[in-house]
Amino acid sequence: MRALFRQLEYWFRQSQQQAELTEEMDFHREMKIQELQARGLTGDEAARAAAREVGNTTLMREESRAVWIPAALESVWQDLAYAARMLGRQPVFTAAALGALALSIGLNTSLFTLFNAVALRPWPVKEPRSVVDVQNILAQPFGDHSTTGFSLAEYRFLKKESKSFSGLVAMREEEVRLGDETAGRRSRAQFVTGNFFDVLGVPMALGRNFLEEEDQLGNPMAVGVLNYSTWRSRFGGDPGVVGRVIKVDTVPLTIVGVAAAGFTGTTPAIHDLYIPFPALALLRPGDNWAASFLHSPKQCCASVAGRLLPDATKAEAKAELEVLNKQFRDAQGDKTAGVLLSGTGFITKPGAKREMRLMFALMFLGVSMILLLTCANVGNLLLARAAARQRELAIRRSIGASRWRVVRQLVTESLLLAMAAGGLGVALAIWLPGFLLDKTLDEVLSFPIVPDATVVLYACGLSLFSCLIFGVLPALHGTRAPEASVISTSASISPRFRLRNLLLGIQVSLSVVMLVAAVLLFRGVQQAAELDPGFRVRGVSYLSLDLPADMYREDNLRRFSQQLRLAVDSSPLLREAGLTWLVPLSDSHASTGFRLPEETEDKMRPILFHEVSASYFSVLGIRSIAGRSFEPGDHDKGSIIINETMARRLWPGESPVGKTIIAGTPRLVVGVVADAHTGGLEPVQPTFYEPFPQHALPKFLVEDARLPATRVALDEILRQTQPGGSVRVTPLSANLERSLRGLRMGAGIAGALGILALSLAAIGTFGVFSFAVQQQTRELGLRVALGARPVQIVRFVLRSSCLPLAVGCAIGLPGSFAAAQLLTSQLYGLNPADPLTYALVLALLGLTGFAAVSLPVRRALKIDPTVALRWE
Amino acid sequence: MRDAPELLPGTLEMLILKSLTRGPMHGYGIAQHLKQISEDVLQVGESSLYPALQRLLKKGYVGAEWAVSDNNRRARYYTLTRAGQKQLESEKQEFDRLIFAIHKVMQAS
Repeated sequence: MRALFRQLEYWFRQSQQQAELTEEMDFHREMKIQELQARGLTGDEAARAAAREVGNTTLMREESRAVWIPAALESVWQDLAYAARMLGRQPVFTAAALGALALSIGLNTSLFTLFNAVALRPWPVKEPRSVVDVQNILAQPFGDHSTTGFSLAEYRFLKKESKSFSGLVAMREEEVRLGDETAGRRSRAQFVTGNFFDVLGVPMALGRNFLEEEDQLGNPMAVGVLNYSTWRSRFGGDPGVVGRVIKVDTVPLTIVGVAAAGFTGTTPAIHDLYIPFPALALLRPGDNWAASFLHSPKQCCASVAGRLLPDATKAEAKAELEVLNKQFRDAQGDKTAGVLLSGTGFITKPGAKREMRLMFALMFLGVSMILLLTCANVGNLLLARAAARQRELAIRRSIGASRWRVVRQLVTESLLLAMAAGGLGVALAIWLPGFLLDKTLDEVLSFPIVPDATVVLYACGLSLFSCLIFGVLPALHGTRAPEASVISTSASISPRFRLRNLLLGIQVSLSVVMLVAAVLLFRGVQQAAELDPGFRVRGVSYLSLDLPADMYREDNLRRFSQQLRLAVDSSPLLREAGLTWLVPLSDSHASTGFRLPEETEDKMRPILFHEVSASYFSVLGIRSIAGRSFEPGDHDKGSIIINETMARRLWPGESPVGKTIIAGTPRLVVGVVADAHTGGLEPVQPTFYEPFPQHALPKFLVEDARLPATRVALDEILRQTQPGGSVRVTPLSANLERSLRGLRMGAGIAGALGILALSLAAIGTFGVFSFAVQQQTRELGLRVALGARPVQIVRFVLRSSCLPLAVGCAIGLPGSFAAAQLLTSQLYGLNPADPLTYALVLALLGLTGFAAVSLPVRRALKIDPTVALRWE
Repeated sequence: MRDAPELLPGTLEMLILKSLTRGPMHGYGIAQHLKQISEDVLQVGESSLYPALQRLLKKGYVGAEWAVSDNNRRARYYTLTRAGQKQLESEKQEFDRLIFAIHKVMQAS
């Protein structure tokens, strides 16, 4: 350790050490001179004799230095210094190569940063490896859901009986109103078991953790622990916040602590407040759901996680929990397909995980192609440079440098370039992912998306890898030519040239793929923007009611809903408004299970449903295809209206009107309406509509012409029945914008990548043709001198390098078709065989190719034979 | 004049350490000391003395600091460190064993 310290000290004080050594030598020599003079020599004689005796001081200094710095290291240092000088001497090349590499490594690293933050990072808790997420596998997978959480009663059973865990926790997120907030997002409370912070090993920044008596169902206490960032943002980091009473859903709640800064929560969304489960009874008084959730063994769901005992394996814990789970479910008469234990992370649902991996794989494919493209390009530039440096390299080798030594020098240069680019790439990754997410998402994420050690390691690996591709091959190639021929600059088509053409071919094919993907995405957005959603978006708005928080009391809600409904039904104006829960394009769905009457229970399958009033169809302009619209009394009769897709799937070729399905109770189909993309811009799913229930709180869809009057009418109703409530108006087109935003962002990114790919390929093409002309200047000159016409010259130049372009296109086109298929599987509305896309890409490529080739060709035409033949 | 005999590898360091047991010395002083004590047999060249001193510095067996010499010049004085003392002890034993062994071999007929 101390030796290392001495070594470091030497490194840092190198020049001083050298000076000291010199001074020491001088002293030594003078002493010697004095000694010799004392023996009777004259000053001059003494000085000469001393110099002779002391000998080669430079060598000695070198040797003294070598004690500290091994020669091999010294030469690496020399290589690096030389490489830096070489790079500095060609600022244009260096800037271009560095920029391109930094950009592509930065893009890759940014994506990895995102992937790392979302998929790889475990929960920010103590020893996250021993914490597992526990899910219940559904006996009958339903729609997207193959797993769920557990009822609190089952959680308590598991916690009591299981032996593999040092602790099991349960949690459930609920939206709440914190304090008197009126604007912005609603706050989120995470209801947790009292042992939550203990089991996860989360310390408190302020105050204390929950006490045992605060986790008693029989004696609920309204207490809470604040999230650190919420404490900072909403409470100004007030150190006196502990003990303060705040209002949560208008119920007074005492803050007992603030969780440590590092604990950002177990989901991507911020949880502002942690509250023990029993307090749910206080915050949702009279809410039947809350009571049943806290007590009933059948009321799902709380998420469950546990910390494994040091000697327990995941497999053992799973086996144990499965036995307990089955035991519990059997007692309830429920079925189960076992439990799933996974590591912690933001995405643990198996289906979501698969989907996310696929999305990321696609994006990684895109940015990797950019990186390869850049490597090919920089490799080509380096080859050209190696050609220009042939003399230097040949001279180095002829004065005794081994090929290995020269290759090492060249690779050092590439490595320096790659590492610098990697550093810049990480810098880009600090900024870019946050910037993009900021643009796409509505709200702040709980966790920071910044590069950590894993990401830096990834960037390093990426830099090394790219150096291997763009640096090593050209270095090996560039040093292969025999020395003699190079020194005498005779040039014709060399093997180096073949490597260049190969790289060019790769570039062209990759950029074809990237371009097709980019243009397809662009067209996808365009089509989505123009897509007829099957209903009116422009000129329609919806009104929603913001009500005081005690509306969670079921009796209050029921009373108000009935008053509201009476008022609506008695007002001709409000009857014209479309009533619904789910506003079109709000990205939420309601689904239920159904079967046909002749089918058995186990044939139940998921289906979407909407609860709407008759005017819903007329306001949104959804056409009726058959049967009738809703009439008063339909709710009690269980009448439903189905969409075309459902009619086609269930009763192809028959009239569905009058048929029945079983969804809880028997439902009679009274009408069929046209398909509408009300759920989002994905393909329309089979959907049925049922009459809007009497006791639920609707949102009102109205045409803009009626908007002011409707608003006045609703305000009036609120004033009479629910003072404190207010009306909020949102145009539907805002929802459409939001649905399109993700797609636009995707297309924007793809477009940027596509343009990047195209420019890289253009630069590559230009480089190769310029190089060809330069290499063949003599031959071209000879041909001109012998009377070749310009057309022949052009043909000659193109012939040599057009093959890679053609082959690149030939490989790229089928490749891009495959890529398009992949993209289509992920994004709705893309046509993988869209002829316009391919035409556009080919035109773009042709234009770029023409531009890239025309300059070198013009230079070839201008070759003066007298100058060219004297070239040497 | 006869050439100075080649030193056994590693012995120069030991000799330097031994010289420094008398107190701090500069490089020239060490060379002079070795020469005098050995009655001109050991003439340590600067080209091996200074690298050897650097090696000792690196290993931490000696320390160095600048001070004013007897004739009022700035000179770098080397001192023996505790680690150097220990090293000298063990090297001395090793050296004695070696010399004894060589001696025995040379005595054998």
